[in-house]
Amino acid sequence: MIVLASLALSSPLAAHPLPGTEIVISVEPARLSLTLTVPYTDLALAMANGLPKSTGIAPLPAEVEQALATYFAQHMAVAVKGQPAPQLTLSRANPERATHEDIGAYTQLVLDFSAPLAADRQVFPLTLTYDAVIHEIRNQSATVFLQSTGQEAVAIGEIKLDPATGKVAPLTVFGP
Amino acid sequence: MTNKPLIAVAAAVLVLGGGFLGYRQFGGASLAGYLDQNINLGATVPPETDCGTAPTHDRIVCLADMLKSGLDPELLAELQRPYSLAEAKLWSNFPPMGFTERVGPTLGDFSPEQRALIKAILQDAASLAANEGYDELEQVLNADDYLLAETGEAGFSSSNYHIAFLGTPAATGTWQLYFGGHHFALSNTYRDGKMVAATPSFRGVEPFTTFTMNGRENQPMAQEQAAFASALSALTPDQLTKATLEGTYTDIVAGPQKDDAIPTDPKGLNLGEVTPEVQALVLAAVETYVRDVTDADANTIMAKYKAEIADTYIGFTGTPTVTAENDYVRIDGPSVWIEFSMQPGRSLPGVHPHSVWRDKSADYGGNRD
Repeated sequence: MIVLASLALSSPLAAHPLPGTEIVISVEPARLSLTLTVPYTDLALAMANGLPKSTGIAPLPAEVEQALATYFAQHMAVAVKGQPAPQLTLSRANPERATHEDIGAYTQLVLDFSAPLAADRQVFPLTLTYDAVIHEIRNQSATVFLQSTGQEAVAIGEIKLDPATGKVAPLTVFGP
Repeated sequence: MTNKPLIAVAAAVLVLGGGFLGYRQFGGASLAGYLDQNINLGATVPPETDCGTAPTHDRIVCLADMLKSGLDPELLAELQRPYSLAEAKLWSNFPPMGFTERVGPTLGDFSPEQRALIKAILQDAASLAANEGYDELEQVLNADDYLLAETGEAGFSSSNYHIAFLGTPAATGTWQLYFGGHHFALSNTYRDGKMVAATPSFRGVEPFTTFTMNGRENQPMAQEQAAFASALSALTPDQLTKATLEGTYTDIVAGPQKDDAIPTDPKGLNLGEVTPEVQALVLAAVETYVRDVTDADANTIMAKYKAEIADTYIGFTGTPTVTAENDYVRIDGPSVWIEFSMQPGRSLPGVHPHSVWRDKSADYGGNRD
């Protein structure tokens, strides 16, 4: 995640509590993948009783992974060329320790989602509808990156509460 | 002060980001030796000058000229900068290891005599009320010295607070007194000899509980927390329900580099619906921010906020005592925007507050991109 690290260092930080979520969208010839890095305690707060309040970095029980899959199915969706993409499937949910220069050590959850795509299917414009964590923690946000095959991930936008509408608008990507 | 391992590191002054000399690593001596060099603004005695004694803009200009006249060219160039809205926006709640883009030299870059002039400028630019204005500033700086003593973590120190003149202090024209560092941002904008804005104004402190540092007791933000708790405790159950915001706030919304984050549609309890007594309690909470500036300027600002009270809202989440993690309260008026967020401790056990005062029309002196 070298690209993400360098981007974080080049941008002014803007929050003292946990950092926001990072979402990397990867478009491969026959697959759409999303890797989410989410601060654990914020996610636990947003999921209410669906996630233990605290954990080490031990693998999560199957029922917790199922709860995560259910939660994100309710708070994340992708459409390609205006049509819903196939259901995103959670394949990995790993707690990891992370450090932040101001916050210090904390736990984050790395989640891999993917969906198969027809090999010849055009994916752009791609629309990400997402309000995980943000629906509860109103000051949080998610930075979205696009990773194309053989290319470095590029930041393409930030998903957050719109101060004018009080809602979280989808993010549309028109191409790599 | 607790005993901490002494830290000995080679003398180093980092050059970081857009800052000037950046923040100091411990150098040469031990941590204890470094603490002996603590600048301790409270013990610094402002000099006698020919600038008069009344805290007027003329006196601030005079003191600024005195300060500048004694600086070497490099330090002067860093202190006296052209007015720049872009640089005015480079404030943060973070300590220097989390935000390296502040402008201007740090207090540690000046001699004791020069720092005495800086103290006089800061005192004249702020109120002298206990726990507000300059006194609040001094205590927030003491908190950073306390954090350094308790954690030994380079970056915390009262010597790492930046000062800059954005624009030339003078009887005519626009300039901003820029002062800030960890948990503190002062942004007084002056135009043609008058203060036209005191915002954005950020205050935070860790620890939140009373601590002893630099020869005094410190608890600079207890007054803000108590004022909010007092206002919320005066609400009826129905009013408390109306004041309750949806969701959770783990931090302020309109923080650094979030100048456009204030919601356009106010939420919470409309203060036009409450008694004058409750309105007075909310205004008392507002005054813990506005009274950070000189009395005359504070009176002008408070008159505006009082006139707008019936169109102002109070909202909160968490507990109305505003003492627990993720407790959050905001005041949202046609002009005023104040947020107070109680957060987990970063370096010490317990909670600590972040808070911001903004003015929707006057931030940065009303200057816009």
